[in-house]
Amino acid sequence: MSETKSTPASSSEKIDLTEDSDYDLLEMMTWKESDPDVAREACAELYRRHAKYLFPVCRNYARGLGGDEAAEDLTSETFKHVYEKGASTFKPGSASDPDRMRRHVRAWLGRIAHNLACNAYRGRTLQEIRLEQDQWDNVAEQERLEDSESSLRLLRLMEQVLTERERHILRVTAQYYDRRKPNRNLPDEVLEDLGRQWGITHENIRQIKIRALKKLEEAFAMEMGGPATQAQGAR
Amino acid sequence: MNGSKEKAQTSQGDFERVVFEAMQQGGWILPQTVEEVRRAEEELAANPVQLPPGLADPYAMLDQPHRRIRLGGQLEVGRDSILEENLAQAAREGEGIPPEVKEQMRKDREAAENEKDG
Repeated sequence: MSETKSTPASSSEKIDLTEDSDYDLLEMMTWKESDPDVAREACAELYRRHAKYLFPVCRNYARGLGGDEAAEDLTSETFKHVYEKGASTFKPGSASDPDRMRRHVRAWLGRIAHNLACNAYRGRTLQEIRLEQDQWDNVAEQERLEDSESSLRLLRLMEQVLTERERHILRVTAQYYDRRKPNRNLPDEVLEDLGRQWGITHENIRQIKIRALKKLEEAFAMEMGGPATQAQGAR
Repeated sequence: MNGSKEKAQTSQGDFERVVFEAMQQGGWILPQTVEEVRRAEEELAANPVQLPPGLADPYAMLDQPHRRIRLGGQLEVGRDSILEENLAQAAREGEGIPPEVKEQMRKDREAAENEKDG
């Protein structure tokens, strides 16, 4: 960590934090009361390092949901949240490898952006976010569709065969999917918000989701050239 | 739970995971683990994106007031679609629309119009 961290800075003093680690920057950002100049510069430095990552992933996410404007809002609000209160909830890991540390911080930023997006989608404000190590570090449990072409086909089919309501419900419920607990119910407040948005009951939401998955699975199986039961074999 | 129902639920759960993973790969779910970030970084390295002018200055970002996140622009269309679907269903079933439903529809329409105006 550079010496500037422990030295209170006057407004005329140039603060250089380019040599400090991401973990150190996040710690400095908690010094807003005692050393506001350093805290502010730490946030600016963190932003310079990660905004060019966060904006494109937000842009990808917001495609069809508000586009670039929504992606800009989400990127900006994520960093503002980190500066105003999020940094104090960050738990540094044991990573000393710079690549791993960078990805840890980006995973945490992604978690904040995810929660902001879910809440914005539902018209809510953000609650405090903590990301435990087993949440950001669960590499061993990660699986993916080996064939990314199959993924793209599936996403295209969502556009083609599902109604807007079905797509929306599948997309919102997927934000709460936990592969470690795949049968976990949606949080009540999410069901309430979805129900209010679409004028339907909680049970309707469940049925619409099941029907949408079935429609999608059948269409996917047709594309892959077999009955629905073979769709999962495409993974 | 009988065997066939259990099997059906398992099948649905498996496919739900397939859909979830497809959304993740397509960027519809933000990367939130180290491994997901690594994959996203690989994709971004192949297709780099410039920051828009509105995000270029970190100090301006810190000084500006909070933004409303303008996600979900399509939902208003969806709300109208639901109204149309409800109306069509009532017409198909030959039933009149109950007064309380009409009143709710009127309120929803007004709210949507106010939001557009606002």
